[in-house]
Amino acid sequence: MSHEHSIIQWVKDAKENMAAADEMIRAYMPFIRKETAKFLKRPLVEENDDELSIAMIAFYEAILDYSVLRGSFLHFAALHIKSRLIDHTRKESRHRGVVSIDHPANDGEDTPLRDQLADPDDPLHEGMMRDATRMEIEEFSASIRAFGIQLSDVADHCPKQERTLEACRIALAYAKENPQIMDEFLRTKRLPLALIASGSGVERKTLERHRKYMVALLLAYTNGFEIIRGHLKCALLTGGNEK
Amino acid sequence: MKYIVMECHFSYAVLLDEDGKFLKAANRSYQVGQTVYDPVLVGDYHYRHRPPAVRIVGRVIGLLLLILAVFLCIRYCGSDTPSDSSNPAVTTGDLLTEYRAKCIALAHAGIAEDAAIFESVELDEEDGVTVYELDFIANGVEYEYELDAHTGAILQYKSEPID
Repeated sequence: MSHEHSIIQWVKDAKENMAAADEMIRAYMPFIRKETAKFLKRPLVEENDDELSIAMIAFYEAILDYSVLRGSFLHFAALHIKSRLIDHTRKESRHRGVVSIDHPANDGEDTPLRDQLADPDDPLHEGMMRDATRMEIEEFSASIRAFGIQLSDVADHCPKQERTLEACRIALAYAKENPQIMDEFLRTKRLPLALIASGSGVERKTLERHRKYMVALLLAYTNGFEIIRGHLKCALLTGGNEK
Repeated sequence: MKYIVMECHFSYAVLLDEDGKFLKAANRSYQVGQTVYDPVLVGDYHYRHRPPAVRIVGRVIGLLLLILAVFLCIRYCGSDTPSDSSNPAVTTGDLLTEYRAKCIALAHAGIAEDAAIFESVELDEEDGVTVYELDFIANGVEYEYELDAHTGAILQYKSEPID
């Protein structure tokens, strides 16, 4: 009984803290492996089985979705893992015969198939681009950390609905075009929400809820992160109307 | 839709899609900076957890048993034996139950419960007092008792050997 209580407490902590979630997933890896092997009806032969990564994310989803009304956590997590793996298998069966270009090539190495394909572009250039992207992302992560934000936080506070995303875009477009706001933002490392809300007409509550997301995107668009900006659709900071 | 891998963790990865959404996804051996096309996103599933039929049936049975238990509890609250409920009068108001009346009479007569054969147990009213009239036979002796149905006081009794 007390064991179940300690799991529930752990789940509660993990819901709010990604580090705790990661720790819990590490601790329950034998359980996740067992459930995956049970579904596959074979032992997991290697650590990087794709199904294992799906099962791990399913365990994380179970942490996020769990409430005590759902009974035992481990039972709930097992059900979630199974459902997720069924979902994945169905999806894969629809694409049977079509190999993903992200799939590792059967050359005894972990290089994706994409790297093996004959590409009109220079493969050397491709590799250099990936390195440059990685370096830019590391720089970007360091920049948002200076604002007290982690990339995981940004993902947690990213707008889910299209309407909210659109409102954030309008607010960001307004902030980007207003030098006073940008100066204050970079100087104080705080987003002047009152100014943005009054100028863009977006509700302050919406901006507060997605503050971390807005900081990340505003930084991406202002501090010369060319690769990240190039990946995003251009309409992002033009209010969405020109999309 | 293209996604850039922004961050990799043990159990998940953070991706950025072309619409500017940061998303958590399964870390399928990704590397930071990699572009991916078919991620397994957190929360992107379309099934709902439905308990299996066995669990639904189990819950319904459990609920019915609970209702039955509550009903029995209310029905026999204050009663010492549910088996002696043939006469509804014994369980109403603050009268003694038939069983309690029998026990008082047997204790007074010094007879064991299983040695007695009750011929009649009647609830009656005499001079405005509700009484139990009990007739029973034990060890070749016939007993007649009259008890106050409220207090259990023995109002009258007699015993005589059976010829």
